[in-house]
Amino acid sequence: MSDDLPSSPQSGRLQVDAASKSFGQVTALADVSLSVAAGEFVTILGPSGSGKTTLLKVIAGFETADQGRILIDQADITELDPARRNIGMVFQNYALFPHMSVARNVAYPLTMRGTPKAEIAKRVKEALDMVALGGLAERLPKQLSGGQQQRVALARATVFQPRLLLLDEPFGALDRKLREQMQIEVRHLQRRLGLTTLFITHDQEEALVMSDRIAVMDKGRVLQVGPPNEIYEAPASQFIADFIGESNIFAGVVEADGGNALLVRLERGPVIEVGRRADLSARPGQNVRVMVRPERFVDLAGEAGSARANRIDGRVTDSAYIGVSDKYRVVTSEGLDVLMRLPSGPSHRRYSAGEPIAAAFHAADARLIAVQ
Amino acid sequence: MTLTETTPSVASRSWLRPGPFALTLPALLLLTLLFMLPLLRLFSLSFAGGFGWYEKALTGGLYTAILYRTFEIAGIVTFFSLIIGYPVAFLLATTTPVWRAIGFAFVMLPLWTSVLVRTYAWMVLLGRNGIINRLLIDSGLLEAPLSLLNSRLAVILGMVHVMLPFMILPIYSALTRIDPDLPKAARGLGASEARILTTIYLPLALRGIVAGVTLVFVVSLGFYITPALLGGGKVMMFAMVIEQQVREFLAWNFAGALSVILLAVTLLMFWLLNQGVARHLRD
Amino acid sequence: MVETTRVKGQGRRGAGAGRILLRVVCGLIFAFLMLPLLVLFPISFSSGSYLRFPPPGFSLKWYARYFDDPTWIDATFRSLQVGAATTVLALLIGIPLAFGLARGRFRGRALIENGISAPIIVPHIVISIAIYGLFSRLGLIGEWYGIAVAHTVLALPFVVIVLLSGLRDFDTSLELAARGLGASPIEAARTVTLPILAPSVYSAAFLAFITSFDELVVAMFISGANMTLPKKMFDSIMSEIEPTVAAVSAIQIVLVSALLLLGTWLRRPVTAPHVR
Repeated sequence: MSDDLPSSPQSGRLQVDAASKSFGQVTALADVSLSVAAGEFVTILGPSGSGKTTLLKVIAGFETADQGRILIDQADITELDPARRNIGMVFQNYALFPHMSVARNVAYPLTMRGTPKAEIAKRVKEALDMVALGGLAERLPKQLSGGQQQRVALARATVFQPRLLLLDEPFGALDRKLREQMQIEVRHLQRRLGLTTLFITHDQEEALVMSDRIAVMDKGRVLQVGPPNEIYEAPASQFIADFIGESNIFAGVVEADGGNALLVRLERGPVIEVGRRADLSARPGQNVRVMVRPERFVDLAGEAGSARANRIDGRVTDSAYIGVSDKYRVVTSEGLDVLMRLPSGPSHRRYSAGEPIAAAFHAADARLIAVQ
Repeated sequence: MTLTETTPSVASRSWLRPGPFALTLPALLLLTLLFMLPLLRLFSLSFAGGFGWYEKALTGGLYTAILYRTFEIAGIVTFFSLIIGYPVAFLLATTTPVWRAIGFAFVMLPLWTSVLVRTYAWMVLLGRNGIINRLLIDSGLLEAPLSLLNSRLAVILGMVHVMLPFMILPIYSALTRIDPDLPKAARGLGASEARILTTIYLPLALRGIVAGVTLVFVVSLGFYITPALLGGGKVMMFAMVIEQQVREFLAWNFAGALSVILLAVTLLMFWLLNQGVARHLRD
Repeated sequence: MVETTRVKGQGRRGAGAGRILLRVVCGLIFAFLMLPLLVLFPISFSSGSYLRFPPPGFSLKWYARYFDDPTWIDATFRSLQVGAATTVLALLIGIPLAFGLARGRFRGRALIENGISAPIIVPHIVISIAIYGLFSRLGLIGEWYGIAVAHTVLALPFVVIVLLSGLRDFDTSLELAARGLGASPIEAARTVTLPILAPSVYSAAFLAFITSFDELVVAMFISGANMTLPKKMFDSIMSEIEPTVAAVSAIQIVLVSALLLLGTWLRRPVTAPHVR
């Protein structure tokens, strides 16, 4: 606890053990546990107030947990001074020192560690080259664009070979194209350095694109941790299903157990086949909620009378063209409100408001989300 | 929460200096000993032997007349400072950076020159052999020099000159906070420069105007140097009376009472100006 | 009611007649502001003994009077001494105060912040005689450090106002970043906080010094036999008509102008203009 955490090319393994933190009456973190393997890129995803910023502060050392521990490579750093943790951090507003040039900014952590001048110069140059800012070493931060400032922040946070990299919603201020570009660049840099990384965002698309694993937080708790496709396809709760992507959540009653699938009569609709879940069982008579992602619907145009399972017939009330797909809001005769996304383009039929539409989904795409 | 909001737990074991309240203690000590204490002492002196001193100050008409005249002068000075200062603040807030810097120099230089020097300069200007008289006589408009000094006019001129920067700066500050798109939109709709000045800038600048007016009025009420030098004894402002009582008559109790009266009036005006306009703004 | 006919001349700033009128009026006002100060210069070089205008001839004798007279030099030195002491004291007390007010969260914070301006609102004459009363009781009349402490009370509000403004504009995430990058609290303050706050500190120091150096009323009462420069100038004005004071004033104006120019020069853009 008294020595600096060593910094070496080998990146560290982070472990958060039952961390709790309250501010007066407000609970910011409630028994949060998380493990990040060496070299892994984990995103903490959650709405404002979910506690993700507090978690970051506690890991970085700007706050101390009331209970629980923070460990890097088995060393307990819970009470360690932030200056000694050897953790690189990129702030939301970059926090570049305005009175120092780019080079001095990047050199700062090395200067603080007493690195010899020649070594500093060499490593600063390497770091700046790695983020493609080689020629801008003598500029002041205010003379750089947002994207450039961000890269300087990245260079500064990695130049001293930290064990862990923390990024606090770093792309908020960038426009979409630039944001997507930076997402790729950061990921490349991270892989190249093999740096264990914790990334905070409220943008679920960003989380899905960048992460090895995602930890979804809300109200100070970690709700689910898993790879992106797991979080997306198999959300653990309705909250997560709602928060990530778009989804239809249908209420219904289990009618029968059909072997491979459950038969659920929807409150406002037909009986549908819902895939079983090993970890969540439901018996006939129980109220359940079922999630179906809009893009899992298949247009049945042309199969007029076919008796397909999980078929939804209705009328289009709203349509929108999103480029990659056509989004439709469909209401059935029983009043079921369904969101569908069908592929768009010249080879596909486009529906307008008021037209009848029929679409279906596979049982495997219907996920049991909650059982009462 | 954002990353930089400080929280109670941070203050306790962190790198921020321990106990922010403790940081204020030296200042509180200084102000208590050298501000509150002397004032309280003066306050208690004024009540020595009951209300006698206040009676003397408030009855008989002499001192109340001077107070009234002081009020008048402060009001006139504030008024002229406002109508002269507002255009300058407006120009500074809406011009190019280069001209703004130059304009600022014209405002800052007098501000940083001592009141004494500025007042003395007016004595030179307005004296029998000063520039103004010289110009008027040499150009044949006058025969004998005007006695400009030792008059109300001189005092007002001098005080306006001194107070002008105090009026300009708060108004400028408020004006620079106005969204620059508003006047652009108005111009696009065809409004003239004068219209923009009165219908867009003026209401939004009101906060700065109130600050400027309050500052100038309040300082003018208690002003000593300029009236003393430019008024030459003929124009008595309240501060001069207080000074006289102390220096010449050593009448501490009476001076105390006069001071309390002046302070009370000042605080009252300060409160009125802030409240009155705040209520007006709400309408 | 929109005056559409004026639109033509007002495409750009500065094109309208109203704008030109504004500039002319402001030009006159600037002249009004500067004129009295400029007038002092010819008077200070006058060879005549009275405040005559135009001066009869050119002479440096009033300047000589100033530099040769030990009482004038003493008074100047005293003002510089008091001014320096006031500045140091005001900063020593004001910097922690500003930090406490800007970053602290404690009961009474708002009260203290508002209360700091009290010395500005209370009439100058009242503070002056109040302090005079106290000091004469304590036998502190004529002591330069007494004047300095009294001046500190007057300068403190200005110092705090300037520092608070600078602190509020300061991005505290910079300090967190410095700490996270390995800086100890002192190193972070030295390498990040103070350099960025330096301009505010210089402004505050300058204000404190000027407030003290120019201050007359308090000094009038408590400087006793060891006069400050403003007190000596005041006495000189009241008793004599000779323009030595003009010379002293002219010197002061030149010094302040020099400081103004220095300040502007220091604040010029440091590197190449913004590149996008």
